[in-house]
Amino acid sequence: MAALRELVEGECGAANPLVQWSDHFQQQKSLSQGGGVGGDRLREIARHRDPGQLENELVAEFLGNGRPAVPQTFNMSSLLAEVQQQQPHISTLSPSPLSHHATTQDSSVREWVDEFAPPPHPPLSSSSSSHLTTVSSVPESWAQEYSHDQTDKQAHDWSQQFAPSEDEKWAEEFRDQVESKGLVAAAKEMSEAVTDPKIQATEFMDFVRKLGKGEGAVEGDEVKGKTTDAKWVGEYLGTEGEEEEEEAGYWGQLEKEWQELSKQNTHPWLDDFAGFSEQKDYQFSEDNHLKEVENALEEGKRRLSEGDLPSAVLLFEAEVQRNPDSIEGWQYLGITQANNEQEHAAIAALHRCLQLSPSNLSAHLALAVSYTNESQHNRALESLRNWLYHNPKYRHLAPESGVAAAGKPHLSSFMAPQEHKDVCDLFLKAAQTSPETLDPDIQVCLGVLYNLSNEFDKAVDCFTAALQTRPDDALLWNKLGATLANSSRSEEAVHAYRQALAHMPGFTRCRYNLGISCINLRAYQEGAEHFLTALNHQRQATGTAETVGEAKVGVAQMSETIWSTLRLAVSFLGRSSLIPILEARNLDTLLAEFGLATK
Amino acid sequence: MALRGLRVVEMAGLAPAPLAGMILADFGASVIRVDKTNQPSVVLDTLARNKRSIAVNLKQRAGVEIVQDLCTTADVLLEPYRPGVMEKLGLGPQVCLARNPRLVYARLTGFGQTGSLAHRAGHDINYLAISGVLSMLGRKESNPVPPINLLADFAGGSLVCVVGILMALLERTFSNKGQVVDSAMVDGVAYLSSFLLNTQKIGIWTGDRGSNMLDSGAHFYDTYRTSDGKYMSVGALEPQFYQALLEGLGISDEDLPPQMDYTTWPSMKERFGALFATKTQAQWTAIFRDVDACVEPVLSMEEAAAHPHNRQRSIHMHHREGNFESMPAPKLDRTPASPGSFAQPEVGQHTVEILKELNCSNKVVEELLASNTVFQSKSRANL
Repeated sequence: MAALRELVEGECGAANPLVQWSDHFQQQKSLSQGGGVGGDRLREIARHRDPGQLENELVAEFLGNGRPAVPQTFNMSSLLAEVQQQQPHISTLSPSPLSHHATTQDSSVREWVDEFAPPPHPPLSSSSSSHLTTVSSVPESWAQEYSHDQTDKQAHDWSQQFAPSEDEKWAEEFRDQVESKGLVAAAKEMSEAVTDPKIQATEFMDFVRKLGKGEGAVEGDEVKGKTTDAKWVGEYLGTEGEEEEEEAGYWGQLEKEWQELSKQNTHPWLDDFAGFSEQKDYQFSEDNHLKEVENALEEGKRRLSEGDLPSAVLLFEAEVQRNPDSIEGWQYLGITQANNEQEHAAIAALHRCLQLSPSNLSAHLALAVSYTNESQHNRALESLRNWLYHNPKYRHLAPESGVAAAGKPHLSSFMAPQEHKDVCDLFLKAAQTSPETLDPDIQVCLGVLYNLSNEFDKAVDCFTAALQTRPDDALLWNKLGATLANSSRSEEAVHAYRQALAHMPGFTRCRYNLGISCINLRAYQEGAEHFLTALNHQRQATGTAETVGEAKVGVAQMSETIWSTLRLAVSFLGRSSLIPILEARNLDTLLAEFGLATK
Repeated sequence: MALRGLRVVEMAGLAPAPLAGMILADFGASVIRVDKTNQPSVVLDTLARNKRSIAVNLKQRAGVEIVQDLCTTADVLLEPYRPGVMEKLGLGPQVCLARNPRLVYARLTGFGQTGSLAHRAGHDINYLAISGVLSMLGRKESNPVPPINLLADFAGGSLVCVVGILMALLERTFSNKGQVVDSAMVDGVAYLSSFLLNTQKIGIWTGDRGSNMLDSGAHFYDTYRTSDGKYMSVGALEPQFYQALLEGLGISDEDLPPQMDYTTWPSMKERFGALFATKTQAQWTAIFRDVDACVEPVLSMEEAAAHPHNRQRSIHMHHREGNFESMPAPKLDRTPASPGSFAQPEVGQHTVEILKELNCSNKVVEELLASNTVFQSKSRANL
């Protein structure tokens, strides 16, 4: 017991190690939490909801004399003394050596404490903090910045720099921008716009630049007075101390949020994650220059018939953005995205279509194909089951929908062989219901099913049978080609792809597939050209694209899969120097390198 | 990015080496993962973003030569095999450092290159056990429980290994010499646990496992179940935070035993447990949101990704397809990490590309492909 007392109480007026250690905790906490001055005080402050004042106090405290005023309430030594009283057996733990260490100051304990709390701004070791609280590095870094190059005078100096009215003006502009379009964007714009080197060099501009990069302490769209920089901005914008405004702003909003939350018993931010797991919302193109086109749906279909898939995509997007419940709009958008080699967008759009119209057969079939391409076998089977279930001709064969049959969410994309066999049997039965008139849709579904099970020869037969009824169906020719290609019959695949492209020259997916077959046949140059053509086609989104002028339009429509396969072709061609250009997605340079006209 | 220009060859492994490679890649290194040719198409390595993959058959002499060539121009080799495996393949430190004296040869294993356990198989839990640390983890009167495989695999393994690599690289700028980094997870965990070991003397680890202040023995440092089946974390060590905690729980007016009276900790825990069970997690979060009582909700991964604080600091990257990944840490202000596209390479996706960089002709590449010395993944045609 004596040993512990000595450790705790120290000797000869020297601060004892444990108290130092606990001081260190305290110091770190007050820095790291933007609070922790003491529970009582903090709650007091929080009640008044004046963060500015809190920050003032913290800053003042920090600047005091390099060491925070340890609140009277905190006393680790008394805390440990309590432990000591409650746990008498401790004294037997390590008897005299420890007391020796503790009193002679040069002991290992002492060294450890010194290492643990090196003055004056110790870097926080992760092990020391892990059991207390996660320590953000921000407050410490500002503290350091502040301490080593800012005396009060300097700080004053630069704030004086801002006093002239000229500066005031742009600060005001800054505030206006903040209000209108969000802080980060405004900060970015501002730091780019300010060219005066004198202003550029100021701390304030530094801060604005950081904000622009999303690195500042920004909460919502309010600069929260968490760093001194932020505080200065606050001062500058004249919001400092205006309690009402603050109240209406960040804190008020938060208060309201939390009140709501207490009522609902849920976290408000979780709303963002509704439907999180699988069905991602459709992501629209950012700059849709065809947004204003009249009769977007009809115009889209027209472009589609001309083989201009990228423009059709934009028009169908325009349609569903104008009429979010347009079943046909979503259906066309989904199918066109798939043919434009954008599987994820296709899946999202088709799901939306089926939400609006659960019996849409085209969407079910297209979804089955997309899931097959994505190797999501179970989902593909589910879609095929749904197709049958919602088809009036065959409903009697399929007593339950895909969801009901699956019964549970698919944790794995590995296919259950029995489920595959069951669905196959249903479709074979369907094919037998009218053997005299072959239903090409059934043949297509069977073709997809046999692709799922890698029974490519059977799949080829099915697609070939369907083509007898629909010889002009480019999509069907592509399905046949892809099946042949995936069963290593590349030459035959090329023939099928050529048929498809003859009917629809702008068929992006098919051109991509053709490029893959070229690589497999070691025609690397030709393969690369097909990929570049496909990418260029995706990018162009003809029509007004030219008036927009920038290659930017349609960039989002370029497929990562095509880029990565192009990379392989370029590698085979031994043109490694093009890889960085490829990584930069610089299509124009690549088109020029391959002698393809860029117009 | 801080490590731009750094060339790393990573021998494909399970989890610790891939994370070490991922950290280097996130911060700008060019990382090539050397995969096997007979790999199943389903890749278990999900820590490969922005790496490239070459699939090589190391049972063939030509395959070994390819990796030797890669190491000749690399700055770092990262290998996770048991001691002696690389030597047997002809890729040991002697061979590689002879060809490239500046190579930092990092060996990341569980038990290390020497010692009586060096050649034994093991996993995170075993390394933790041998380090002594596992004995301290877990609740009272229950078996020791490791924090999944975070501690040995990733903290004592990947992170310590990366620290070793970076220190060796820094030293190389003075000596112009590489060296072998023997990074054992047991050692790494033991080192990480210095606090646990060194604090044995100061009296905070006096009881059995699960009955001390920081190991769920104290009522003010634990998790509590809420009425909606979620949890709150409580870490109110200091008296003022403890006082705030009591106020939040609505029992500050009662005549309670002193905070540090360890004899009353078990009964206080029951008390706290009953109190926390009366309200939902959201309600407790609201109660403590203005108060520094060191009380925070225990969030799921999804909730964490949606939490405003984490969003403000952009600690996750959200994919187009809806899932998300952690962003690299720490944030360097001038040369921050950029995880790029998050694309995970397929096994052998960049085989031809990398062979071409080694100046192989098309004829040689075709031969290597035909003899199954290397494997190039193929794109599948889409229906």
